Amino acid sequence: MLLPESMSRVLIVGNRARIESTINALYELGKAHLIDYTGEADPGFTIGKSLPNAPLASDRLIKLRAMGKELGVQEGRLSEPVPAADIRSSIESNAVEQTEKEVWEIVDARNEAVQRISELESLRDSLRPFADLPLSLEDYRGYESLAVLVGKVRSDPAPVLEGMDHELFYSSETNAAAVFVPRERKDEVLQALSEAGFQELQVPSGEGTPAEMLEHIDAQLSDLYAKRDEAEARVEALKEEKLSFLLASEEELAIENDIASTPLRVATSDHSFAMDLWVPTDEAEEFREGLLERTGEALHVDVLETRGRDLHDGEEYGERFAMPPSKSSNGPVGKAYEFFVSLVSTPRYQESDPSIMIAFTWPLFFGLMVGDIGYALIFIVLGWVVMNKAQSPALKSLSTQAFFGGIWAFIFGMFLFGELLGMHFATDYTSDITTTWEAIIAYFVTGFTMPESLMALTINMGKFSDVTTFLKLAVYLGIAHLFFAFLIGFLNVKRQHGAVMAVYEKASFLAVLVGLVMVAYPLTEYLLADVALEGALMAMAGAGALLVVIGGALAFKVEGIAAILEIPAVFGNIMSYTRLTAVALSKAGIALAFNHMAIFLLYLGVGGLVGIGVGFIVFMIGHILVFMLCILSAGLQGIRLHYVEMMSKFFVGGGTAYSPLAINRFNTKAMEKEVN
Amino acid sequence: MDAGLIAIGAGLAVGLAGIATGMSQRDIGAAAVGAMIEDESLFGKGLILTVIPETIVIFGLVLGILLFTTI
Repeated sequence: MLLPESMSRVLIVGNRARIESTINALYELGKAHLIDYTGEADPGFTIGKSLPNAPLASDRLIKLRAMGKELGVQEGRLSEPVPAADIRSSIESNAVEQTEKEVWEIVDARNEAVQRISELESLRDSLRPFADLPLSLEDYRGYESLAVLVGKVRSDPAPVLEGMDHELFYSSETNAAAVFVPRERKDEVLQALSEAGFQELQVPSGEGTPAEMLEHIDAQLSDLYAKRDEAEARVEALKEEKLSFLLASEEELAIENDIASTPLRVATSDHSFAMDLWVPTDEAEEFREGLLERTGEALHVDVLETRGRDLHDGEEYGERFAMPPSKSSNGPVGKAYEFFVSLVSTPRYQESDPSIMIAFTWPLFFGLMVGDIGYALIFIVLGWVVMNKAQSPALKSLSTQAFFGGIWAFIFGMFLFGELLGMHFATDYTSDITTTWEAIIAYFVTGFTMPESLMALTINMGKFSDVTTFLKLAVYLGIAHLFFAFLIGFLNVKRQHGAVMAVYEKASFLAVLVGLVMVAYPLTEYLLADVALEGALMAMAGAGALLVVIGGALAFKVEGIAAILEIPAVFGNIMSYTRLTAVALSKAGIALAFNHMAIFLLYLGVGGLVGIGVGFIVFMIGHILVFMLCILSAGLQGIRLHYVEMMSKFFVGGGTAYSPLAINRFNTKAMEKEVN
Repeated sequence: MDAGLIAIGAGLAVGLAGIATGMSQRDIGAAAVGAMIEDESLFGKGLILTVIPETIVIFGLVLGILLFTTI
């Protein structure tokens, strides 16, 4: 269950004339993970040539993708897939080329308008500062003895220019200034102007007064805006019309292109070809027979080896065959959690896939941190709805986690904490009457008490009043979690390098973990509960210390001094799980604060209709905020415990995902002969 | 011992540890975001590296809680 599926290596050798039919058969079977031929020095073999239809297919594919980009077509799924045979016949009758002509005609019109608009807008912006100065554009140039300084200023430059020979035009509205000075005085004036915050501007080319020009530009622009809007509407309409053709033909051509370029990954000689494949062991024989049947027995198909999990297996075959692809053997729920593992790395063929473990414990941790029926129900409903609708793997995985996390949150909220939206149902350990549902309902319904049958279900543990119990619970969960992580690590190393190595590398740390716990338990009893360190407790601490020393020595033998440094890290890992308590407390604390405010408005302080209304709003806003915090903190802290504390104990990663040659259709429906 | 002093000690334990965590996460987080812009598949690794210093504040919090329960 935890390991990727066993893989067998298959060799296919055949006549070069049959390469196309072989590739088609492989795509139909959909089982073969092709090992790329890298052109190693096999005498007489080179990388193959793509099939004759490849250039046209890839050319059309490029055209389609360019069109899609211009039209703003998003990748997506059609609600009604197009029959592949239909799309194929329209592609063959040059539908791509015709559509391209149609699309570019309209898109070009839009692009031209957009470009002209941006040119005019930038001209308008450069003219605007000059609009309030009483000069034509030609007045700014063509002087022999005069220098013209035009630009923006912070304030009226007249005072700073006093006593200099100049003529000034200044508009206080746009803060534009034009100064005409004798050429030889230019630098001096510039310096003076800098005190007024002068920034020089380029005078636009052209003739006439800027105000007139602006008017003209605005008229042109409003024409162009109308033109652009019309073109955009046409583009939108065209996109609507062509959407199903674009998506379906893109998919069809991508499939054709994949198939046609497959020979580029295959070794060929003048008269033959050879392919190396990984096929799941369970299906290898069936695959062999299916392939022979489809290609008329004219191939040599050989199952060469079934790869074991020892890292030294297959060393004699060289680098190219060193690492089989990992095909996960998870069920539907485990599959949803593979996404979170893939964010870190793909599991190797020889190691356990952490997805299953994450699927068990992440929702559990999440539920413990949320621990509240109210939020639990929202997570369950939201998770269920999105899980059944979502198409992207990320959304599907996240909603699956929300759903199962919600279920655990309900279990903890109901049976452990007895809590709904940050308030207990009823309470027996505090006199603070404002924070239970019983008290609120009793305010409206005199003499109300929570039914005994409901209260009998829950332990009614207070997150704040029982914080030490809660902390201990988190630490125990952490110890168990780490124990399993080291155990999986042990099994991994045993598989990959043998039992002796596994004892040195992983059993050593299992001993350290258990030993640390055995030392820590009596010590905390002594320090926190004032229990005397003697008898059984002392023996336990002694045995624990011995285990730590033995484990440390074993690890030291293979890992050296680094192993000794790792021992305190194990302790740190255990303590890290107290974040479960921390997040639960912070979430409950914020909810409690909002509840206090709302209840004060509702009936303790303000009361009346206003109190009820405002109190309800505060209540809603507060709990939406806490709900968001749940997603962020509980979700993130939960997965972090898996990424950092758990997976580092056994997971290496760096594998290749199993991706067989196969036809995956979403927007097209298969042709008859493709149906297996 | 004076309950007030214990409470101040608990607060300092959590607060200072939080500041220390923030300082180390600032640098790692900035580098992780930079790396992710180059290659989005580094998200998981970036997240792992960024959250490592959180252990500091967890230690602070545990100490804070333990101190607080002695009041």
